[in-house]
Amino acid sequence: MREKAIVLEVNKKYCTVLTSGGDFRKVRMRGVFSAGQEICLPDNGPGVYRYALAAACLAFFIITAGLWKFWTLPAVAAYVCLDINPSVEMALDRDSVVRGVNPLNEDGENLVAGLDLKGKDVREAVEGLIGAATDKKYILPGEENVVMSSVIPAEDQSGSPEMDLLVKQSIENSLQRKNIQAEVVVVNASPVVREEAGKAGMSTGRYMLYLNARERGADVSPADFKNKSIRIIEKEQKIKISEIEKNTPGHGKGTIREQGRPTGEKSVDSGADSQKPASVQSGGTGKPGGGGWKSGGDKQQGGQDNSGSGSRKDDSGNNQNKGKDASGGNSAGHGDKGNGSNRGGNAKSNGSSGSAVSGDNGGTSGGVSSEHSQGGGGSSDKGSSEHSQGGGGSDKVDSSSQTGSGKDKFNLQVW
Amino acid sequence: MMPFRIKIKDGGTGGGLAGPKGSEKVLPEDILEKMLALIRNGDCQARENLIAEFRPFIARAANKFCGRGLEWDRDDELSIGLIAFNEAIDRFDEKRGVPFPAFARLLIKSRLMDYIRKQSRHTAVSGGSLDDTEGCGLSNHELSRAWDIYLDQESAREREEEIAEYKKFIGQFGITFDDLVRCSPKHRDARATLLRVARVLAGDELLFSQLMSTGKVPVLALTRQAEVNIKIIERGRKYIIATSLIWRHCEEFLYLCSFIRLPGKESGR
Repeated sequence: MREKAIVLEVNKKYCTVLTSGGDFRKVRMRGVFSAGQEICLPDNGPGVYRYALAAACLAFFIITAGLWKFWTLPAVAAYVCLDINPSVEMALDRDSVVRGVNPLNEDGENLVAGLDLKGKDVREAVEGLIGAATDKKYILPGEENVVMSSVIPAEDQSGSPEMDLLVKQSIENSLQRKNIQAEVVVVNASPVVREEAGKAGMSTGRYMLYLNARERGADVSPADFKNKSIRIIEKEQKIKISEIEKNTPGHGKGTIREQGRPTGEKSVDSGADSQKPASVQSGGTGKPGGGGWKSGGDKQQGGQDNSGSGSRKDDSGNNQNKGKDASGGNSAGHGDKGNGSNRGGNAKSNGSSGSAVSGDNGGTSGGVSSEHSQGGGGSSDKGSSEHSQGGGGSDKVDSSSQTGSGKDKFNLQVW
Repeated sequence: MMPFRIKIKDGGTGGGLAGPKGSEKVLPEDILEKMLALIRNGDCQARENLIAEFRPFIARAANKFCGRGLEWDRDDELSIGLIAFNEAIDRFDEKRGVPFPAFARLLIKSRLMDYIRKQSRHTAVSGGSLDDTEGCGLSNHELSRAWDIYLDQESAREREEEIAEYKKFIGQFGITFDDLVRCSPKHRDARATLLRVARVLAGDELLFSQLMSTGKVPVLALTRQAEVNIKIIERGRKYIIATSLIWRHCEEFLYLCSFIRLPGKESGR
C-alpha cells in the first residue's frame, strides 16, 4: 500500500515526513522536495532491505563456495612415496611443498622420527629423508642400495614429469652428497594403484613390485613385500625394478636406472638415451668425471623412445647428467650436454678417449643409432647420425640444442 | 501578498507558548465531507448549516488578513468573506489535494485582496501592474487557469509556512522532528493509542492549559482520563505533545490537521 505523507523537513539524504497514519519517519527520497509537500511514500521500505539481504546472502555463499574450492583444491597435488626399506609417503601440494608425511611401516616411522618435513620443499624433504636413512644405516655406503620412489598424482591429472624429475634429482643429489651409490628408481603410478596399495597395507612402490611379481606368475603374497627392504625384495623376487619403472602402467615413460660408479672408468652405457621423456633422468650419482654408466640392462624400446616426445624437460642448468647420451653400441656414447663444468670436462675426456658424443643439433637430429656411433672414435654426431664422424675430440656440446629435441629416434643397445 | 505572509509569521512567534489564538475546533473531516456531498447534491439547508458552522472560521480568517478586528454588521470584509466561502463550497475539488478549510481560507484571502485593491484604486490612483492586467478583461478560461496556478502556489507556500510554524511551535516544547521520528511508535496500534491520548489531551481544556503553561504533559491526570498505562504516556510524551498541538490548533495547522486521520472513530469528540 502506498501511504501518503507530508514532507516536514528536507535534508540531504532524507526527508522527514509525517504519514497519514500519524507516523513520523525518515525516508530516503530521490528528487526535489520542499517542506509541506504531500507525497506518496514508495512502498519499498522493507523491500529494499529484504532484497539487499538476499543479495548479500547470495554473494556470501558464492564467495564461500569459491573460496572453499580454492582452499581445498590445492591441498594435495601429488604423493611421493619413498621406499628404501623404510617406506615413507609424503603429500605434496601444487608448489611441491610437503603437506603431510606418512610413514608406511615401522622403519618408516623410525626414519621420520625427529624430522620435520612439513612445509619444506620436496627437494629438502627428500634430502632430509635420504640423509636420515644414511644416518640410521638404512643406506650404507659400499653396498648395493636401492632407492625406489613412486610419484602419484593426487587426481587423475596427467602425471607430472617435472615432479618425477625433481624427486629423482633430489634423491640422487643427496646420495651423491653422502657419497653413496644406489640404484635410484622413480616410478609413476596412478591414484588407483595407490589406493589399492593402501588397502593391501603397503607402499605404492612395493605394491607395484608385488603386482609385477604376480604378473610374472611368481607365487607371492603381499606380506613378502611389506617390510623388507627393496633391495632384498629385488633379489628375492628377481625383479628388475627398473623394469617396473618402465612398465609403469599408463605412462609410456621409459626410465633408466643408473648406478654411478666411483671409478673413473668410462664405461659404457647403453642406457642413456637422449630421448628420455622427461620423467626419466639418468641419475647422476656417479661422479661426473667417472661417467661410467652401467646400463642396468635397460632396454629402451624404440617405441618408447619414439613415443618419448619432445617434452624433455631437462634443464641444462641443474642436471649434471643428462640423458643425452646417445650411446653407440660399443662405444660409450656419451653425449654430454651438460653444462656443468664437470660435465664439460667429462665430455672432453670422453671424447678423447673415444667415446662417441652425439651432439644433437636442434631438435631435428636424426636417430642416433648404434651403428653410427662407432667404437673407438669419438664420433661427434652432428644433428644426424649419418654425419657421424670419426675422430674424437670434436665434440659439440650444445646443451641448448638438446632441450626440446623431440623427434630423435634411438636405438639403444644394452649391455 | 507580502503583508499576509508577514502576518502569519507574526502570529506564530507572537503567540509564544500560548500558541496561535484561534483554538476553536474545525469540523471533523468526515462530517465535513458528508456535508459537502449533501450540498453538492443540492441540499440548500446543508449549505446554510455549513456556512453557519464556519462563520467564526470566516471571521478569523478575515480578521487575520486585515489585521484588525472586524464586526459582522459593520465591515464589508466579512460579507466578502462569506461570499468567498460560499464560492469555495462550489469550487472545492478534493482532487486538488487541498483540504476544504484551507481552500476556503485561500479563497477568502484572495477575494479580500481583490477588494482591498479595488478600494485603494478608488482612493489613491496608484494602479499597479496587477490591476492593469486585471482590468483588461481576460477570458474566463485564462482567469481560471491563472486561479489554478495561484492556488497551487499559494497553498504550497501556506503548507511550507505552516510546517515552519509547527516546527517552531513544537520547538518551544523542546521537540524536534528528529525526536518525533525516534519516538513515534512503529506499530500501528501503539500509534493509535498515543493518538487517542493526544486527542483526549487536546480536547480537555484543563489538561491542555496545563500543558501550555508548564510545557509538560500532565501525565497522571491524562492517565486517568485516557485510561492508559502511565508508561505508555511517558514513553510517547513528545509524540503526544506534538500531535495534540496539531489537533488543538487545527485551524492554524489546517493542512497537517486534515492530513492526520485518527484511526478508529471511538475517540472523536
